[in-house]
Amino acid sequence: MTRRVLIPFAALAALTAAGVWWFTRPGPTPNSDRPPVAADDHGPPVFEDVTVDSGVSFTYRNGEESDRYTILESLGGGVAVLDYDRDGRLDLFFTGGGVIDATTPVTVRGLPGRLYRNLGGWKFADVTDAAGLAGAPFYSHGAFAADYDRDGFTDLFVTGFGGVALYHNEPSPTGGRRFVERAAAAGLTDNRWATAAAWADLDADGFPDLYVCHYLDWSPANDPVCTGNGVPRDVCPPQRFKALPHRLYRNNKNGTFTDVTAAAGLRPDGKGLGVVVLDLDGDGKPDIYVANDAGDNFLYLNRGGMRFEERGFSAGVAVDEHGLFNGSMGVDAADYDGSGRPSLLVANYQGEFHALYRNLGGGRFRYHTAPAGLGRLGQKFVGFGTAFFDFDRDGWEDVAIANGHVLRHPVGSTFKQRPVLLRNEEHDGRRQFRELPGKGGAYFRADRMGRGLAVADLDDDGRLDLVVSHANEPVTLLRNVAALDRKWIGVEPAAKDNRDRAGTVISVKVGGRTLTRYVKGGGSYLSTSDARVVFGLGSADGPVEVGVTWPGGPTHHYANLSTGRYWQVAEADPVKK
Amino acid sequence: MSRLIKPLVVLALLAAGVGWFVFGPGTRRTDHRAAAESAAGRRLFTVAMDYLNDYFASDPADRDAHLLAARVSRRLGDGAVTAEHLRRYDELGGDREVLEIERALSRIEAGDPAGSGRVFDFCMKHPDHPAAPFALESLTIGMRKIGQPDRALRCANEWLRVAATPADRAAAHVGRGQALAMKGLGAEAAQEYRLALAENPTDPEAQFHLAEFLSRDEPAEALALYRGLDAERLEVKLGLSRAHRQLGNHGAAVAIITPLLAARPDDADVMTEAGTLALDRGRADEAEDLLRRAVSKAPDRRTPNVQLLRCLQERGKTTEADAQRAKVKQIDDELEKRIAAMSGKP
Repeated sequence: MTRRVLIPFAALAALTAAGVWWFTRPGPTPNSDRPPVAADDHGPPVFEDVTVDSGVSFTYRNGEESDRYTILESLGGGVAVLDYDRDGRLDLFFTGGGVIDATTPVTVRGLPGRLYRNLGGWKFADVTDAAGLAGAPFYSHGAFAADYDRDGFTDLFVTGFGGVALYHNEPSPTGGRRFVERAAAAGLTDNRWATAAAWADLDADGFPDLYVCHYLDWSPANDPVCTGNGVPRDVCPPQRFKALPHRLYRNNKNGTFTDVTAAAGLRPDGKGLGVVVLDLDGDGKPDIYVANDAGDNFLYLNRGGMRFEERGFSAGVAVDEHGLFNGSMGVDAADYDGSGRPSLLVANYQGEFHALYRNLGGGRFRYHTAPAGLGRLGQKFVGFGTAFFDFDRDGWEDVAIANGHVLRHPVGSTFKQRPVLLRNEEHDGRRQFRELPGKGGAYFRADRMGRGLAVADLDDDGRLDLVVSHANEPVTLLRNVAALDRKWIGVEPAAKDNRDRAGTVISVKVGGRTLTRYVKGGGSYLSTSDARVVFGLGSADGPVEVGVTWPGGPTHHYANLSTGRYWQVAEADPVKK
Repeated sequence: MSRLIKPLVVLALLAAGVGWFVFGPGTRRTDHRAAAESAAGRRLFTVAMDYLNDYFASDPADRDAHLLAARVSRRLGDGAVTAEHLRRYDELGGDREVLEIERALSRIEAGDPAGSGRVFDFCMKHPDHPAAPFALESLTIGMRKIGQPDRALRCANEWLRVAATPADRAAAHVGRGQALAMKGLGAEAAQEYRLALAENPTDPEAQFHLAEFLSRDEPAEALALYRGLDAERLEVKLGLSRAHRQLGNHGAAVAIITPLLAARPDDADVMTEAGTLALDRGRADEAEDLLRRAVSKAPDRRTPNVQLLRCLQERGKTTEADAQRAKVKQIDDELEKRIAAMSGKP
């Protein structure tokens, strides 16, 4: 009886409710899907910020405090990793930037860089004065290390606004080593605004030649006022200025250089901010790839005899997938996909994706940003320091990018930006990069003004560490503290008679795969990374075979090399380090 | 339990009574008109039209309802129905000035700028006139249609000032965004779409335009927005495919584009997206075929031409790639000229 009454009543109530819903129904609502969650990044962080206890305390200054909003202040500085005293430990040199005085017209002064000697155990000592680097001849940007005279000691080339410096590494009268500035004597006298540079033996004579990117024609006398986003002034875009021609110098093998720009076939344009040198078309000769700001990127294929052919467009590495040039800064190259060929990664400006140009072989590339998962980062970043490196030693090259805006009042983005750490993973049947904001540690979770970035194994444990320079923020040393459960082998190619090593290709056969790594000239942004090569071997066990193809030369194979250590492989026999 | 029967019956009768009062035939007629007005205020024009059609079944001679129906159908893009309701409004003694404005708005929205200046002046002089928001909305659309983004922006600014409902304010922001986009100010346009969504989180046009903008820049956010839109709409399907492709989800993109291509084998946009996806997947021969067909369908459109250029470069067809690059440059020069003209630059 009760049920017979309750059921019609419930039906009536339901009908009433349905009626009320129908007449008051809301409009369509959007799907509440969130953007894809970052890849699994559980577990302890891979990087630990060890700057404070290391003794390294330095800040690159760009002069923005004068509020002159010059484009000069947008570039920032770099870091060079080098063993300047040959004690077997990697030291650090940071460029200092400068000061922009609020005079009319503005005046620009340099600030000194800083050299830190590695004492071991993550302790560093400031040896700037003793090493003869206390001066500041100009407003500095980049630092590029190489043994240009093949005396066995690494020298230093510093770029900037108002000059370049070639610091020759010499014995100090008080013992140890010191740097003596020899740019003018060496013939490096182009004082126009210089940014990135790369050392590499381009003509196969054993001595490293020098490619120098020049930026644009800003000067105190050419200092326009540009309005910003709702503010009366912001930093001018590079489009407001004319490009400066880049320079290529042949090493004369006597401590001097000859400007061979015209004869080499270089283009007269390009607001260069990044350059990397390695064999990109597989012909055994190192080629030059240049990342330009607000202009096509250049690919100079090495035709021998210090002659180059610019093939950026036809190779597919000049512009993005929309056929548009980007605002390119940092650049690096690596075999990220196991193809045995180096692909190019270029860090770009806001409103553009960072570009991955996948090497298809035969000097052809495909713009591969989206298929490689880099589209997931979006276009809010302004990328500078850029590096491929296998931080988790699984045998696949991962990526780190230092980001930070150049505008004080950017639209749709932020002044400070978080750096990104991307792991190389298998998805959808191909290699893709996935961001690991948690895995990177605290450094990768905060917004910063990232600029120069170098990769180096500063404690020789086979785990690649990072050193980052920021604009107006202290430099950061990030110690790789990843679990030690994966095998590795390190290779330091020691070419005959201190011959330049850029262009060397090193491979390791492991677990049915061939891992290929490259010794490069230049790379990243305004910085020099560790010249040694570390192979992550994952869980592979037992000794491995290493193949080393010297620039323009033979391939040597070194069998039965045990893992978990560095090997110095000479053009003769390998030697344990 | 039998004690419950009597109160339950009383309650049921009460509920039925309430239902009769709320939804019964005596009130349905006026409620349908009010519901139509409410729906129009929320810019749910199809819903509003359904209510009005129901309403006209019982009261076909309501002059103001015909005016409302004309405004609703105009925004649905149905010119014939608009004209018919305006005719009925006229027959029933509608206000001549309002009638003329409505007829002018239909012409303006169709891209005929004649009389637009007069209507704009009228809105400036009488911002409180009930027709002003409708007029400014039409002017915004019309100015955009005839390639006058600055004027469209000015009209949208005024429309935003007088728009009464959040939905209308959202639409005005969308109008501003579209005008800014025409001027090549993409980031600023996106900001307007975001403001529109802040006013009306379910505004499909704001979602769509923001998704379109973001599909290049922020594919993850674009994907979420596209998923909230009518999945049967071609542009939405293309947007979903593009967002998946940008995120590296080739499988998901293929699942969308394959049936779309089968259904629309000659659509240039579909062929372009399918060709670009094929290129990303390393299927350059398939890509070349699709992109060549897309270019033949839309020879002056930039995207298929650029993607074909990429494809030719990748395939090592250097001579043809060089010619294709020259063609892209020509398209770019033309676009630049048009944007400069719209921005009033020389």
